[in-house]
Amino acid sequence: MDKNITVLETKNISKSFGKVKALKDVNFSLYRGEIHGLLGENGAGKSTLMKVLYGLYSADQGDIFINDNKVNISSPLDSIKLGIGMIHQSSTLVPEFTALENVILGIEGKKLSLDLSGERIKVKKLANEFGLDFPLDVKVKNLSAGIKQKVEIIRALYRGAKILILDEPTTSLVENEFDQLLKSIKALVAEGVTVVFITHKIREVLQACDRASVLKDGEMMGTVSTTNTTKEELVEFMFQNKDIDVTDSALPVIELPEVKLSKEPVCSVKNISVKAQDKDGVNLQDISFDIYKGEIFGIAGISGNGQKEIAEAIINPRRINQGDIFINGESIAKLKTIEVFEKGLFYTPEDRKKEAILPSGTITENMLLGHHREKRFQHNGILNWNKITKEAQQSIREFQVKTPDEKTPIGDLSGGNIQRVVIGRALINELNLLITHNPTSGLDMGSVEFVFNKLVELKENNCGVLYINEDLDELMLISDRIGVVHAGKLVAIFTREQYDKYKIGSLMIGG
Amino acid sequence: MGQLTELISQIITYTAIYALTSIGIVIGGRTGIFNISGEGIMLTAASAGFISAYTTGSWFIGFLVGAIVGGLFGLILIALHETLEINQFILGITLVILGTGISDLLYKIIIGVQLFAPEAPPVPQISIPLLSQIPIIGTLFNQNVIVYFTYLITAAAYYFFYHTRLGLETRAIGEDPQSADVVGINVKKRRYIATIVGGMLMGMAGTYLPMIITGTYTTNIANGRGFMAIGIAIFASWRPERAFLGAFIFATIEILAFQQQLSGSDFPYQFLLMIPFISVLIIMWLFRKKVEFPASLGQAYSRE
Repeated sequence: MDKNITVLETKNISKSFGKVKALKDVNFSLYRGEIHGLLGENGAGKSTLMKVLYGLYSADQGDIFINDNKVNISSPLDSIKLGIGMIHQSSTLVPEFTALENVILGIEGKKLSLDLSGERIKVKKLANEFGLDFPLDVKVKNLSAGIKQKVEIIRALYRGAKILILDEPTTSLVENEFDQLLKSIKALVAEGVTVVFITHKIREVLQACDRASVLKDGEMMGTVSTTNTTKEELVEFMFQNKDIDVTDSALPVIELPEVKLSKEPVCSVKNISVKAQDKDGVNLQDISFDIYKGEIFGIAGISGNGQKEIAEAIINPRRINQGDIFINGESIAKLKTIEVFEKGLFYTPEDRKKEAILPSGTITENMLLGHHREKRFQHNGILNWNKITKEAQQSIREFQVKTPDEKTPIGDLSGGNIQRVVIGRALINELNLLITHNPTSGLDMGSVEFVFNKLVELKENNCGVLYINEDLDELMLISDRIGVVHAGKLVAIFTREQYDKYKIGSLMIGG
Repeated sequence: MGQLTELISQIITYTAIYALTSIGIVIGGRTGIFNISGEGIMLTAASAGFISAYTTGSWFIGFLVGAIVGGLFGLILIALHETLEINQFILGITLVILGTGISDLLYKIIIGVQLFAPEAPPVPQISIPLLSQIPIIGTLFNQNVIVYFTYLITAAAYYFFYHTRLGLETRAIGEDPQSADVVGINVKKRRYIATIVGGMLMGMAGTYLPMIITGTYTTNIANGRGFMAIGIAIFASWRPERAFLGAFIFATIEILAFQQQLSGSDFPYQFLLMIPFISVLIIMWLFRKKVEFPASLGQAYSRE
């Protein structure tokens, strides 16, 4: 790192989305050749600031300087020309194209033909130099998240990026892959590349970065050198005035109650195989596990390895091709979803906005979903809206949903508040088993704590929980046991004493 | 022998209608814009193109005006979609209705009712030396100029999409506009160009109807072909060369049904007229699992 040379600087950047001020007068600067952590909890404005730098958003006010020259960035093309490259949180590669096609896509040049032999050599060499090798001719849709990330980094470098922005690069990486990524980043920095490393995990910043800046509610709280700071100080920066204890993975500290697990499982999945419903789905092969009363059973795995299929097999068991599922010893293999729910099950799906809610429906209507056939909400077969509304108002109070009233369309709420409604809906009735998929993704700390508390409450009430999550830190924090899925198989089950990030991580990527 | 040659010749003549229209749909679709207004474009371009050709006496001006009309329809669709964020399909349906009305209106205002139907100026026929002498398939090279133009467009579109960098970029937009955007491709501009060019091809197909097929303009001259072309684009998995093949299949069905009608069998002709439409359903059903779509087809894209 060269402290004397500032390669990039922003002055008083502000950006609003409607009424929400996402960035307020943000000043931020980068030294040449440093790894600069950008910390902040979900919704703090980290990605927004970087998208302004990359030309995807235009700032309402403020200036950007590159090498002390004021620049105007109004599209990604401007940004690329200024030597900025961005690796986005979710892949921005074209799934149907090969890795090589993706790398060369959009590069300006006079060449008309798609003959890539020249590029092939250059790309290979570049990838090799930084330990970022990947198969060039495989379609991106068949590559793992870790490999896709390599392709994206090389794509940026191939365009001559000198400033590389990595937006939450560790989200879909396991521990071993994170170590590898860090190695490559260090090699890049040695060549004079400057790296911005966006994350919400303090641990990663202390491990990887030279300096760190902290954003909170769109405001820059300050920049510190990681050699002169501590975890506690960064926590203080990130969560000032919030009355929450936080781990170095930026998760709320929770106390798991001692609950004596039942002898008989509340849910027993026995050797189930399920054929994938669509082309990109995963076939489940011979999956067995038990969940006991009062147990939080975690499922770890890279997204798309069968997690969703397991959840859906339980709530829609008629899809199962082989095997059986028992709830409190009773087979549910022949039941419809609505009948499965009557056994005291509920499911909160992974994609909150697409699968869990009807965005333009009111909060009341969304709270009713899945319960609408219950007798207590009906009067002579017709929905009793008075009663439903009262119940919704009560849930809004109980789950502290921030909303003007129960008639507000749920799509207008923030992710955290939507999730409160979704979880609240699951908890209306007494449950035997809750299946929940990534319930905390993208939530602010207060809402994450809310979700955790609810899970702990369920545990205390002897309810079983099937907790599917990609974030291993989170699973290890809250689960009693963790099952690891890979390519549609349950490859191992770990008990709490056996937890090991590297071991679980390598199983997740098929090692 | 002579009969077979004649049959193939007719099929090829009809293939141009479906091929131009469906390739026009494919080109827009490859950037994610699903232009379903082909029927409206064809009708308006048939009317405007025929009127221009008839009044100037030039077939070329006829097709030129047809292409411009089609391009204008494309422009209206993409401009309203991009600026006012109106749903593509709503716009498409609106343009079909607009085109249906405007085509007859134009004709009635400018040409009016005449005792004898006005005749289109002849479109040049070209025989390619040697190639046109080959038995049976030689008839592929003894056609009107627009058929040759169709061959050319098919080959050019295929080469563009699968052998050029610009084509790769265009396909990237249809697959994932955000991915194209972040590597610096101007998504909006490309969508404008593709939709306008696609519209122009559909317009030419519309003008083709009075100029080549019927020789004069008649009400509802497109007769659902603009809709069937959508089926062809889907059957073709949005590949231009397969769209040509699909066009050939549909032209064959149409000609055979037509021949059956002329042969004077007792079979009710209303059923024969249905055959092309029913074939669409059957073919779509047969290929339902094989077809692929550009992943962002029909979806709007904006950054924020």
